[in-house]
Formats: sequence, C-alpha cells, structure tokens
Amino acid sequence: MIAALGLLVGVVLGVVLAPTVPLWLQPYLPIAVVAALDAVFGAFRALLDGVFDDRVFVVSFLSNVVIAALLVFLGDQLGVGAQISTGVVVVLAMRIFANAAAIRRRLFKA
Amino acid sequence: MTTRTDGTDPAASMALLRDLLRDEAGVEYADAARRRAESGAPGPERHPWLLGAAIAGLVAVLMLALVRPDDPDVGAARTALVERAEAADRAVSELETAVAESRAELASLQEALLAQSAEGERLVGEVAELEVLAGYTGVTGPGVVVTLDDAPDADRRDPTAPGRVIDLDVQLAVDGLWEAGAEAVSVNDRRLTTTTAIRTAGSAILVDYRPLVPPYVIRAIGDPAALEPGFAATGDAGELAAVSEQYGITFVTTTESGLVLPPATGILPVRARVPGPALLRTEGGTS
Amino acid sequence: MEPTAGDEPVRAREALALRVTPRQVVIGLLFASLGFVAVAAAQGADAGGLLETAREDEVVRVLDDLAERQVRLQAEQRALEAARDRLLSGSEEQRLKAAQTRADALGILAGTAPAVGPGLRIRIVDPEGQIEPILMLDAVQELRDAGAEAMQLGPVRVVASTWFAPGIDGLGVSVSGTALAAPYVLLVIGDPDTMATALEIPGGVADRVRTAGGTISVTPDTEVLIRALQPATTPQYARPAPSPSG
Repeated sequence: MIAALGLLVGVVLGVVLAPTVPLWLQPYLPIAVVAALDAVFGAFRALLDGVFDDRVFVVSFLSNVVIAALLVFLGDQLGVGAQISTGVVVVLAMRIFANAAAIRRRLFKA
Repeated sequence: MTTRTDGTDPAASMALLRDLLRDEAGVEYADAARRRAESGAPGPERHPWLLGAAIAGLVAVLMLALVRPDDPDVGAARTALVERAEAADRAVSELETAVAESRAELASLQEALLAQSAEGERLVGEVAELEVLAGYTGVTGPGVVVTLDDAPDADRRDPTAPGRVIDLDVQLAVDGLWEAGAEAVSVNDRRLTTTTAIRTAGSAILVDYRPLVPPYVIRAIGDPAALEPGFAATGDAGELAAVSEQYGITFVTTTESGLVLPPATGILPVRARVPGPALLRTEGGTS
Repeated sequence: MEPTAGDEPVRAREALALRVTPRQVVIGLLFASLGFVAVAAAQGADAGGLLETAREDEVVRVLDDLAERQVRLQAEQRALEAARDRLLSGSEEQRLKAAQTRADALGILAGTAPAVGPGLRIRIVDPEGQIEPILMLDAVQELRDAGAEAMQLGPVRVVASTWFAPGIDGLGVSVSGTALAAPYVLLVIGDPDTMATALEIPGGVADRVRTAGGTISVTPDTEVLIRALQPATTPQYARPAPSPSG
C-alpha cells in the first residue's frame, strides 16, 4: 500500500515537475531504475513467500542502485561503459524474470 | 549484508551472474528470516529514524538536483538550451507546414481567379514555371542518390572525430551533383534553393537551419545516363572518395528512377526586389 | 526459505495495511524516488536528439537561427494571408499586381530576374593565387546562412544550382563553368549587419582569405544591384510531382 502510494507520488511529481536530468547523470538513471526494479521484484516475491523483511528490502534496494551505478561509472572510466551497461541490464533483467516467474508460480499456482 | 560489495571489481559482473544463478534475493530474505528466528527479536530495528532521515535527505537532494532548471551546473543549462532548440525546431516545423499549406491555397486561388483574363493566365503560367525553377514545386524524375554516413566506428558524441560526415562533405556532394547537371537536389528530403545553407553545428549538420539525422541522403534529378558518371568525374566526388577511403565514411552513389523531391519550404525574399527599368539603365555597366 | 502456508496471507495483508511507521515511510520514499527517477529517465531518453552532443555556443547559434527562421516564417505566413485576402476582396487589377509580386519574388530566387536591395559588396583580392573554389563555396554558404537573398559572383548569378570548381589549369575559380580570376567581386542582397558579422567570425571566411595571403573588403550598401541573370531553362527530367505534400 505504502509502496503503491509512494510510486504514485513519485510518478506524479516526476510528471508535474518535469525534471531536467543533467547530462552526466543520464547514463545512470535507466540502470538505477532497473536495479531498483530488481529489488522491488525480489521484495514482492519474499512478501509472497512470507519472509519479507523491510530492512533487507531497503538495503538491497540501495545497494542494488549504488552498485549498478558504480559498475557503469567504472565501465565509463575504462572505456567499456556501453558494454557494462548492457551487461548489468541483462543480468538484472534475468533476475527480474526469475523473480517474476516465482511470483507467478506463487500467485497462480502454475 | 549483501555479498556483492565486490562490485567495484570489473569482474563483478561475474559475481552478479553467480548471484543470479543462486536466486539471491530469496537467499537474502531467507537469511534475515532465519536470523530473526534465532535471535527471537523482531528484526534489527536499531536506528530506524536515523536511516529514514538519511534516505529522505538523499531523495530530497536527488530531486532538487534534478528539478532546478537553471541549475548552475553547465550540463543542466546546456540540456535546457538543447530542449529550447528542439522546441524551436518543432515550432519551425509546424510553421513550415502551415506556410506550405497557405502557399498551396493561394496558388490554387490565384489560378482560379486569374485564369479569367489573358494577362492573368500569362502570370499564372509564369508563376508556375518559376516555382519549378526556384524549387517551390515538388518534382519527380530519374536521377542519382548519394548517401553519406559517418564511419561505423566514429564516435557520434565527438564532432571532430575524423570518421564523421561534416557540412563540407555534404556541400561537396551537392556541388558535384549540380556540376554534373542535376536539375533539382534535396538533402534528407529538404529541397535546396538559392537561399538554402548547409552548415554544421556541433555534431549536427543543418540544412535550412534544421538539424539533420545521419545518414545524409542526397537525391538529385537529372539525366540518368549522364548524372552518375558526370558526378564521379567531378573533383568534388574525387575528394569525397578520398575522404571515404581514408576515414571510412560511407559514400555510395546509385542511379534510380522515380525519385520524388519535396517542394522547398523556404521563405521568399523580403529585402530583394525587382528593380524598375530606370534603375537598370542608370547603373549600366558597373558591378 | 520455504514459507509455511499459514504465514503468507498474514504477511501479505500486513503489507497492504497503511501504517505510518518509520519503516513504511522509508519504503514509501524509496518507491517515490523510483517512480520519480523512472519518469525522469524516460523523459531523458525521449529528448535524446542529435543536438545533445553540440557545444553550448553551437546550440545557441542553432537556437538563434531557428528563432530567426521562425520570425521569417511568421512574416511569410502573414504575407500569404494578406495576399489571399487581397485576392479575394480586391479588384482584378490588385489581383494581377499580387500575382506579379509573387512572380517577381520567385524570379529573384530562380535568378531569372534582376534584383536590388540592401546588402554588401565584397571584394576579395588574391595576389598569391591561394584562394580555392572551396573557399568561395564556403563564403556562399556562410552568406546564405546569414540570410542572403540574391548573389552575384563576378558576372555570374549565384543560384541553387551554382557550382564551384578549379579554374583553367587549376588557376582561379570556375563558377558554373565560367572561369573567374581575382579580384573576385561578390554582390549580395540581405541584412548587411548579419552578413558582415557572419563573414568575420573567427576562423570564418575573412580569416581564411587573410590566411591565404589575400585581402577582403566588405562594404555595406543600401542599394546593391544584381543584374546578372540565370537563363531560364525548362527542366527536362524533373516533372512537377502530382501531389505537393508537406
């Protein structure tokens, strides 16, 4: 509930304020969003498994975002930013898929 | 808490892959649940307010950094500028459409109203002929298509990268096509007229002040048998071939039938006017 | 890891309840920032045009050019509407006059009519013979960019199809097949200030003439007369397209 509410508030704020993303931040935002989504799906799955722990969620959310951004930053410095971004997105997307599959199994028993 | 603090290592993507295979989110939550069960306490809730305040601050700073449009940060100011330029580009595009519509409306109106007198009919014919010559009528016919594109390995973010197509390359191609006898030329579907400039701004090539997106497709209508060999024989084409060889820029010429070139959306002269016969006589000879 | 069946519904329902505890606030904030950043990222992906990589001063130039073009287009639109109104309400004589005005403007563009108006007289002296056709091409492009409406180089009217090549034996400049020798006299009609400024930008036309050992003089004039004409040849291959769209 609080999650949905927060998401709604964030999206509304984003649309209303139409933030101007500084150039240097642009490569990191999509990665950060995907990393955060990974944490969210993991949390949702844990919730359905009955083992949800908000502290784990907060820490995994933040560390996911920070590590993903760090990886991209490092890749940029090494001149392989695009490749690392792709790698990070692929891995995170696979994890999201795995979690989504687990959630689906749990919700629909199929 | 997480096993991924080795994220600063370039090989960390491998660790991420391992994590993925280990179903890591599940492990994390399960670990926490086990620890909670062991200690009997309802989770490590030591400094909830502190953590909350820290994160709230983080989020607030992030949002503020993003929202302030006149951020002193150069990047943000630049982005705002680019957005203004893009908005202006859209506005110009809309205006061009409106002007083209008005022009067409006026032309048909003129035709209908003026065709009643002999003098009017002559003028209508003259205007129609001049529109073709000046590039203000869409035309179709056979000709060649010259395609220029950045070298595949050229860095699109670096306007000075050698593998980038620059305004001069497009100018050369156009110049060579006119020399080879082209009757009408367009660059990325923008018809060239007497007043059309081809310029560079950063990484973008502008035609009629409008930024183009590569590849640059230059269409020219003319004698299909003569245009391609004629173009290839020009110094301009020779120079482009050399540039292409040296820097890997794409430079391809093909002969095609049924090319369609749009009418120009440019503006009719506002300062220049046709001099009266008296003026033409008085200044005879000097130039 | 394996949950007990009884645990799960309670947990899920707990999560759905809206309680204001620090943890809930934190999670809400995290989701809020997620939504916010996602929107920002989506908009960023949206705006990724090719000007993104242009330098700031260049973006400013593009912006200026676009603004200038916008003003001109608006003027054109007003003129067209006025012409339509005159056409509809005016007498036969007025209609003919409006059509003649349009024919004149098109004639100036096509180069089949002489032209007069404010502009510049540009004289380029090239004692060392170092001025290349490409510099002439650049000068013409720069002047077009600055809003030139009609041009004459030597005895040749400069129109869309004008081309530049090395002159005979590589000396001088050939303009659409007419060999010219220095000094080159370029007459141009347009806004004198804008065009003079454009020629003088650092690294621009004037700089390059001087680098080549030449001199350039730019004289503004309220009445520049361009009498060279481009012969009106009927296109042999280009046919009017059936529907002029856009």
